[in-house]
Amino acid sequence: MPEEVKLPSPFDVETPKGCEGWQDMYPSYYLFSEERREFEEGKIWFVDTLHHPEPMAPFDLILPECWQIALSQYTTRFFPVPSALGIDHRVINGYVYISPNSVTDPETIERRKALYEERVRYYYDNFETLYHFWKKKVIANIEELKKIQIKPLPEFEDDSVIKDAVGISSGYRLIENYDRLIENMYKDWQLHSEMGINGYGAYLAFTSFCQSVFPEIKDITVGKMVSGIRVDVLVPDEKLKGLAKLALKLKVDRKIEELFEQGIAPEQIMVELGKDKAGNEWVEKLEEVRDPWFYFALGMGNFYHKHVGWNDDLRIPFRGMVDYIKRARQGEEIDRPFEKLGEERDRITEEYRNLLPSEEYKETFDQLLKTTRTVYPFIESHPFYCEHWHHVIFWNKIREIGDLLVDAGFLENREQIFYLHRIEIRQALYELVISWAVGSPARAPSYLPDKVKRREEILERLGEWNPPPALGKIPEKITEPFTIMLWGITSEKLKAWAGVEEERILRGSGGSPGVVEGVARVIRTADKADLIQEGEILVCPITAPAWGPIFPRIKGVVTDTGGVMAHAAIIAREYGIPAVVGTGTGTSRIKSGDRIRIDGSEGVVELL
Amino acid sequence: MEQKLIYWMRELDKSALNIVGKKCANLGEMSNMGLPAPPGFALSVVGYERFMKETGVGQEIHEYLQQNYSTETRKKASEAEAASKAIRKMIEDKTMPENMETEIIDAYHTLCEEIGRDAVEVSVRSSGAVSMPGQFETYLYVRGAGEVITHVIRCWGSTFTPRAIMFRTEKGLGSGIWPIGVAVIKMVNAKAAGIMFTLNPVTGDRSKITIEANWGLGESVVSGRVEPDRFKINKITLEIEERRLGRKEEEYIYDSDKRIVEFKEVPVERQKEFCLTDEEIGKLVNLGKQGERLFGGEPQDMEWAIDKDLPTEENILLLQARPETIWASKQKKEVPHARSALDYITSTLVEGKKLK
Repeated sequence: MPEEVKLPSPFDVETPKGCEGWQDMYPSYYLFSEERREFEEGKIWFVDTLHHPEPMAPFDLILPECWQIALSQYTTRFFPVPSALGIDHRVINGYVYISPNSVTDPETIERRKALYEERVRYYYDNFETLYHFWKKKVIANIEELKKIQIKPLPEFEDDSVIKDAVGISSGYRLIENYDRLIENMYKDWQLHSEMGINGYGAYLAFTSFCQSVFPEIKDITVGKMVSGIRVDVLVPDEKLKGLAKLALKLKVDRKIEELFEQGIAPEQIMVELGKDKAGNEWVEKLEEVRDPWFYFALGMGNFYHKHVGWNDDLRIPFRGMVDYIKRARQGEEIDRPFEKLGEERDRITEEYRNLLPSEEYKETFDQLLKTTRTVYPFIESHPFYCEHWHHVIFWNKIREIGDLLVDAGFLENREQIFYLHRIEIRQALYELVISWAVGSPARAPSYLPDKVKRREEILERLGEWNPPPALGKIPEKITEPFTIMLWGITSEKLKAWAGVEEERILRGSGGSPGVVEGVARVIRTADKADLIQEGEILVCPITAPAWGPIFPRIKGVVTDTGGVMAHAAIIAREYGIPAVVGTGTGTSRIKSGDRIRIDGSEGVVELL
Repeated sequence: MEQKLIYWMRELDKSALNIVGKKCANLGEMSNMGLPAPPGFALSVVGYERFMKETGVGQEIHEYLQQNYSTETRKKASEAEAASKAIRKMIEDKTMPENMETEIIDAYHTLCEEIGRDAVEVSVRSSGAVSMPGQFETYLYVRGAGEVITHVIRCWGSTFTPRAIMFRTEKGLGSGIWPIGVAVIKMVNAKAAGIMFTLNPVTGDRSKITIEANWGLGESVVSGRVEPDRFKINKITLEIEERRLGRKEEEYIYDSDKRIVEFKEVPVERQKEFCLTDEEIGKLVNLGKQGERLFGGEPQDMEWAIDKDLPTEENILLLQARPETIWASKQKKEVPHARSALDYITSTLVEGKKLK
């Protein structure tokens, strides 16, 4: 990096007008502070629009809180990655900034390396077994989550409390169950990171090996060699295709399409279909796939409470199904061509292997490829289990607590619970239980609704603010494997982010090959995904797998954040449309209606 | 066994190097392997030797050199130039021995018949056993039996260009006769032409193919006289990863009335247009891959042209293929020694990703 490339200090970022006091929404350890100024200004901070493209409602901060601990402890304490520690977080104006920590002392690196190698060897040698147990643990945790029940506080406890010698109240249970919900989320993320770290390690090593022989090889091409053909995160979309084809087979396709286009609610459509045999068969099949495959949300990994799951709004999967019905009826092959994808993967791998300079190289290539292919399907599939499935259920349980707070006059509607931090909710629940137990009026109804309203206002405004992509001091190198892989940080990107901008050109990474020209549609939040028109190019903070059904309608994708191995870029390639990822400033420099040309191989967006 | 004077390209392969010279052996090898090379025939080095002997010019040259160009003292360029002028005149003043002439003319007529046209235009190219780029001459758009004979003799004479004389003297190879083969091949009427490397010669990345191209004959690209269009293609995914429009201000084109190859200005509209279509690039890449595989998997440096006289399906021709030398001769980057997968993973994580 040239010396002159400087990033702004995190302390120089101004609060947008009308958003004063935003700091009150987040815990003190998530804020930049004078006491830690020297430390904080001495490192680099990226805005994590990959996971958190929108300003964080206070409760939603539970996700970065959980993943920062879970992910970091794996590189720091479990598998001591020789020269990397964890990833630090801060919030500025509602947006999450992250910063990798590294180890520089050679002696510590050596010490960590020895342990790392020993543990990682065990991990790779026993991957199948570990993965088997991992899946069981994750699903057991989800089952546990489903069992947690949130019940209103009764005027009098049930007889059984007295007669069965329970001795514990509904008030106690409410607080206990709230704590169990939070712990369950925390545990989900602990497990989430268990398999991730080494998967990325193997992938990075394979990439670096390929680059040593083929200096110009692109991440996309490396990805093509290791990616799994059948990936769990794509199953929900495949289920929609299957249902579309079944509808055609049972000849209920026209009925579904007509009723849906008339605006009839999916639940009502299902009742209508259930009236005859063929329709009933289709409805039964639909019910069968809903659990778990419709615990899927229209947002990257379901990282926000407002990312509604398919099961909560069946119009989302129905719209996808109707699109597929229309395409399949016209004779289009809607299934993913598994066999062709597999053949292509093998051909590319074989041809690269043939170009290696020696037998020795081929041996290392084979070993790395085998290791990476073993662990890679986890990387591609885990978002379904740990993120979509789990979180859709989790957010709804929290809503049930919201209902109790509404009944007590603490809030005006259930969604407002997300405008309280998890610690504040616990405090409110304590107050609720006190009031219930003691019989005194609670204080919260006098101030909490106003406080929440003010927060809603602030977050609305912060949503219009464009966070600078990077802040602080650029380090010489980055060793933290997740930062390299997921966020795709490169010198070129930093330069672009530091404001060394070319007029009318945005640079990112090529996420999915191809060149396309068209009208841009900027969509910042998942709930606005509907606005996209046929043939437009989607410009967003980050693409998300569950946007799958809208992909056939768009020509290309431009994102602010993410490397080409981020969950999202993988999906863009599956749909065969060009994508430029990690432009840093796409959503701020491009306006809806602009004509743009995107080159998904070079990672260049041109404003025409 | 007495060697033949004339070989058809399809009869040759690379083992014929010492019989017909490198260029002919290479063209023969390409035809033999099924790569699209222009049709034609080769005059073996025997032809050169017989000409020198039967016309007596070999002896004349020997005497001339002994008197005027002793190799015991270091020579200046002006002396080599004088020797070149004198010797080439001696050679070109001789007529082709009759028996040789008949054989060459017969071969030329057979070629014309094969192509189905009278007086086919050919190129007459020198073909030394050792590659000495640019030392010997090549003649383009040669037409009719008489001209073929004249230019074969001129090709032989070109073993005495000043550069060739000085080069051989300096390397201690003697300044005397230097038998070469000659290729007589159908002239490619090039719409566009250029070179292709089956790797990126700048980075050594073998998964790439790089193509440089200009309108007209390939000489403008080979000599570096114009800034050509450049393309970079992924050999494996077949994606065209880079397209750079060159200035292409001039091109070599043949004026069939004046019978000369001219270096002419390219009209502005054509300068701004890529001289290859994606489809043509795709076909070239396939030929490049095929060629590399046939030549033992070693990176190749190829000359190619698109012939506007031929139907689209067969209009791309390879004029030359030789092992790539630019990258091969460079100090190669120290590549990490092959290690176990785990070592690799650990060291990758220790190194991290440099940002400065």
